Amino acid sequence: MEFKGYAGSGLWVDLSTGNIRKEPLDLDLVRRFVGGSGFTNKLAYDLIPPGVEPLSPENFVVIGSGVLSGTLAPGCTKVMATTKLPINNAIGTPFAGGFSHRLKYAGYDYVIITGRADRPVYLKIMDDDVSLVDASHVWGKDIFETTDLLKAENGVDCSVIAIGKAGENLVRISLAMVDKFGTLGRGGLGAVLGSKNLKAVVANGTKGIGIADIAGFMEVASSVREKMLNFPLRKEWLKLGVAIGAMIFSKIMGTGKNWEKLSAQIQDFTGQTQKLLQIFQSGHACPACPLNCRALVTLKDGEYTGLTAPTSSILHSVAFERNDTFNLNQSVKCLDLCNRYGLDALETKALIDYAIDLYQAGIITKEDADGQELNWDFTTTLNLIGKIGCREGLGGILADGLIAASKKFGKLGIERVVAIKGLNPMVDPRAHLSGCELSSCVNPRGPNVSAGGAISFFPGKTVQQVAKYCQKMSVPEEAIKRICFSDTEFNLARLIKYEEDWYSSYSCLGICARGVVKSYYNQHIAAKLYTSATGFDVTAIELQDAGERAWNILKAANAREGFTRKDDKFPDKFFEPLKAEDKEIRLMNYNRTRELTRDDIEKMFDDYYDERGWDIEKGIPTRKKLEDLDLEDVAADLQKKDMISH
Amino acid sequence: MAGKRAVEAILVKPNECHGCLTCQLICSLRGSGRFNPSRAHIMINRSKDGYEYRLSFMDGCDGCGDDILCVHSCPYGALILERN
Repeated sequence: MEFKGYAGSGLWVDLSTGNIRKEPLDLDLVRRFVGGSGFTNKLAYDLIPPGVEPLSPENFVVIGSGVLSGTLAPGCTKVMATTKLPINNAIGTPFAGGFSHRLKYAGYDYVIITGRADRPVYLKIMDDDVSLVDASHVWGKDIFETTDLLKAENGVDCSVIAIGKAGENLVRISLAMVDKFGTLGRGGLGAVLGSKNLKAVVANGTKGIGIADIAGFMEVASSVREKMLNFPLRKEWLKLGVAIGAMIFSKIMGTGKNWEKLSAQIQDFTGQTQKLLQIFQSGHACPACPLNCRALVTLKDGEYTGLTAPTSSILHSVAFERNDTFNLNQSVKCLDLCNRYGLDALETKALIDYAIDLYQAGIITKEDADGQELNWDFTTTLNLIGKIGCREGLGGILADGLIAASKKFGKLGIERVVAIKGLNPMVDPRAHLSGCELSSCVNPRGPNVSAGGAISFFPGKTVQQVAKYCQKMSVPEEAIKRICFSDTEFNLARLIKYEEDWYSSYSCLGICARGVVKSYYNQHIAAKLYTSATGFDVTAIELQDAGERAWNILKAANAREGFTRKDDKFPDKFFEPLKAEDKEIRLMNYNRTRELTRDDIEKMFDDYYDERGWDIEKGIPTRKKLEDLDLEDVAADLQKKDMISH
Repeated sequence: MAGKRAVEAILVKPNECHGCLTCQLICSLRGSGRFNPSRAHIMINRSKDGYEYRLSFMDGCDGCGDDILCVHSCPYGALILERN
């Protein structure tokens, strides 16, 4: 049958044998999992053998496109890649903007990759011409050089997912980048591709995407677009992107010096925006997005003058900045180096902070640090980025991630590590407890800002605002009563269940993760776009259910890998006071009216699992929940493995 | 003002282009009933590093009659209609 909205096919690539085949889109897959991360999560569940070593040929990578990718639906060009991640053995789905539209123009909604090539190759997807091409000329080159060379070979309009030396060197915090701007990060996708000798995936095509009801589709898409064009802060957003939320970030972002001290830098975040505007060079949009957020930055004076660096968000330019010993130019230099190596900048920064903290505390010595002092400065940071990317000396230890590194440094090293499922938590709940910190703990793959832009991520929201928001999100009335249980306080843990499902359903369609973009969508708008694009009728509730289904199958995949409630752990560090200039900041509830204990946090997890309909003790889906979600096949599988009751 | 004359009146401001493909997508939908930039009559030519864009029109462009969809769709002000 001819699909509308979808490309209509999937692609299978076995790097070990060189076999490549095209397969028609399965209607049951479409019906239950919609597209995008629904597809990739389901296919990963079916294909990735439980217990598989992430860097072995037997691991799979499933790259997917959202259903609306490649169309004029505004801000819908999300690409995702589900795999078993080497940082923590979780099955996770990194996301980025771009690539997905080109993959669909070539005729594919997803690509399944397995095996290991016997030499470095890249996967070239050009319509029906799909081949593995020798990549020896780009192996060893950084991500930007690789992308430019492959675009020169295949046409500058093609899209390129590439890894750098960190991925080649199997660094477990490595990422892949999309067209030099997008980051498929957090967890080590770069190393998975590197382990397969797959340097890049290149796609473009001439096949068009058909639309079932063009007039209906364009009416909804145009309406969303007009609203985005009238975003009151659009002019500022086009340069600063998420950095316009400086005031909010100043309240919720993380701390400095390995979670020991509230960074003065972060307290003065607002002043940073002026400095960011000075390095802004040009904006680069994802397809059909009127709210561009990717920025090319150029250092116009001072150290490294002339350095031009693409960023997925200009905010990342300050990722490495430390107020007293670091400046913006040096931070941009560090970010650029990370991107070129293909290192996750947030994770790299956390690892370097951890190493410096241990050195300063006398836990690791100058000898451990390859004869160099480790100080809170630029020289140490730049040096360690290179060592991690190349797995040299101390960098080789850090390249395996926080948990593996901590085990090399004895009991004291383990005590000072702060991680959730082996990853840097990114945000500090002591500065402000929001949905982000809680959802980072229960997220199947570990901390990230998946549901970013959801109301619980922002401080100062009233119960009335939350109730109104829940109605917009199609949350059932009885659930809204549980969430908004009093006039002055709402239940953060119960709320994040719906935010995750909302995010998950959008990820099936390819709707961007940026909060500002998502704020112009709701389930009703998304359902209308899906229905008019594909001709398959879906309601807002059915779309929300599909998001919940996709989230549950990802959780089930991780349950099968042994993840349970014990892994959804709130770091001990956050129960200690955070040192600020003139005060100590303690872990408080969302409204900051009372201090929270471990029991309070555990109660929040109880509420979260209860709202999800999961086993509260194990923290995994129950048979009933799976059956309610039309996931009888998953229930049968987990039952066979004695993970859920009969 | 219709057809070719409309195209001639389009002022292109490449520095404003963000590479979002909106002009190409609306053009391909009108011309072929499907979304794909390669089917558009407006071209976005990227620099080798991908950081700069040049816009040009192919011979097949008829200005969509009076509609000039690419101009009206551009979210970044890279295509502006200069009325005579």
